[in-house]
Amino acid sequence: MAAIIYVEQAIRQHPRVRQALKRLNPKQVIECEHYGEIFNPKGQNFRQQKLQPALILAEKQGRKVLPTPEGFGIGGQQNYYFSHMLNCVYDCRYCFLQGMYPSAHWVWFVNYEAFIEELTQTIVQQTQPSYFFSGYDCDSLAFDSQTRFIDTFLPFFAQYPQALLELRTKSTHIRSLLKHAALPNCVVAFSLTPAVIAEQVEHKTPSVAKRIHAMQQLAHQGWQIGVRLDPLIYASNFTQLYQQLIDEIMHAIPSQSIHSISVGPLRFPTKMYQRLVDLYPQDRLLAHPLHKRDQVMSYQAEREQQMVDWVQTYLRQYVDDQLIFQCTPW
Amino acid sequence: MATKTDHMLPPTQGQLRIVAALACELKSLIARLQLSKIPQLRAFDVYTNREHTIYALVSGVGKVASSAATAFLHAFAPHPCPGYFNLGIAGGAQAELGQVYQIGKITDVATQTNYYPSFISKPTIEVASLHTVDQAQSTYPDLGLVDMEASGFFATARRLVTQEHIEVCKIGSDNLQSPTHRITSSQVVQWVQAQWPYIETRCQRLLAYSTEQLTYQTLIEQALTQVKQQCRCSTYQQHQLRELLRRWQVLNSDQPLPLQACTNASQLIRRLTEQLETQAYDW
Repeated sequence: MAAIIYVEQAIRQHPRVRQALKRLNPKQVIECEHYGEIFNPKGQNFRQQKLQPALILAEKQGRKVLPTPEGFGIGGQQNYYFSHMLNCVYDCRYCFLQGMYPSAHWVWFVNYEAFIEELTQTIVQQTQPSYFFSGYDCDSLAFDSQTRFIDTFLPFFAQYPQALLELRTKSTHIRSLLKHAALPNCVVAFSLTPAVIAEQVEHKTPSVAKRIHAMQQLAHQGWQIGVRLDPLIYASNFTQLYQQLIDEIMHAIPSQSIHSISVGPLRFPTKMYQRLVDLYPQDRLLAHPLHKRDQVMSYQAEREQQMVDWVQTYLRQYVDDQLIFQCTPW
Repeated sequence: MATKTDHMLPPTQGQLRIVAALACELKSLIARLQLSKIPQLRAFDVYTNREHTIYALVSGVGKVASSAATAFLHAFAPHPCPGYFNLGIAGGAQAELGQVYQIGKITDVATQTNYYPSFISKPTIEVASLHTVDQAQSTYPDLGLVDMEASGFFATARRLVTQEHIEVCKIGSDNLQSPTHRITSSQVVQWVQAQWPYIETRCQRLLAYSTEQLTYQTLIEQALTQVKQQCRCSTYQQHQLRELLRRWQVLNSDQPLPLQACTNASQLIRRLTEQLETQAYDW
């Protein structure tokens, strides 16, 4: 847990802040006026901060529910994301957060009530089912023992069956979910890569085997499971690795528990890629043969298509085609 | 003394720059680190060790002096990623005399600008807020410490390096019971000496971090130098080669560069690109 906690002065007495400080009992609390004073300045080293992030308790101002980028979704027409946190406890080398934010500190927005108000407005305005993604700027579950996000937002979404909530995670902290009855309009989506790749690329994450076990437990309790094979990472023995991963998942999770499977190629916006190379020049993934295509660094089109096609074809052995989606937010 | 020629060579070691307002704040540190004064410098008193890996400078009082001193060191002893350390005394209503504080927030009182230093390793002592004022004053804020330099130092240093390279430590020198006029330079020397174990740890960590940042950069530059010894490279080709050599070092560090088979830079670039594209990618 963070050794240093920053708190916005205005929310110092917020009940969620008081409870968090009592629970976390940090060595140091530093007050700030706005989280951006710490989070936004240029000239911070993301890699170094990631070794020991501080926690910033803040109030989210401005819009809290935003449309997802085009190409991000699992079949819905109306897709939104909302982020009660910025940054993640894990350290995956392909994650866009490390190239997007100047700081690796964790920001936790404690004003859940304001999120709920805006979510309500968004939901009631829709004439068709809408999809809400909570794991866009953070891992939905990894920090839940502190944020208690699930305990607040699951009961909220239970009131609106026309709104689907996706919790996206690599965490195995599923206790908070297991104590609730499965919510029909909630998908718990796990991101996975073959174990041997995950060990080298997804730092600080639970093992793939543990993630699959968590999925199994949730499926057993009736939760709908999302499988996110995103990004697909190249290996000389790509088909062997992904075949093994898909087999393991599908043998563990009954097909009726699968809500959706999304497949996404590895892509970085060019500027983000350069930032990552500057941060991690020795990283193996960033030494892969990626090429600039339409302002995006990716595997060559042919290789990328082969990877996506192979995975989608192999998945069709297990699930209907309409459950398989391709995710290409850029 | 560091010569002009020294400065032209690409550094292979990290560098630490220590800025303090008063000579007494640096006195024991200069002795401990075996620094010698660089002669014939008019702007500031600057001290360095034999290896020129540590520079310590007496800036004089005030944030403008501290800022100027920080910029001066940057120009005087060029280095791509040095550590910056500001050491000094500070007062505070609750300040404990002789106690060392790691600074986690600096407020420039005149401009009401806040700065939040990061820490490359967990501080093991109390983290305090610090108010930098333009004029010496006899009153204290309710919380935190007061000095006259840190905001100038930090604002300038952070333009030069990422903020993880910058730390500020202050030693409590005055409080409500013991006002500023009681401070003596010999007392300051003793306080710094007493807090040396902590100060040394932070300085060493900053120096080590500076070295860590250099290591890989140096490896790539060495490989590029090797290439440039064999063939002429345009600026663009050097840029291409840096990226290819980076990837080569990651994937094939155990193999020699295929230099023998290439007579010019274009050939080498083609060869490396081809090999990196088609080679096995095992995990």
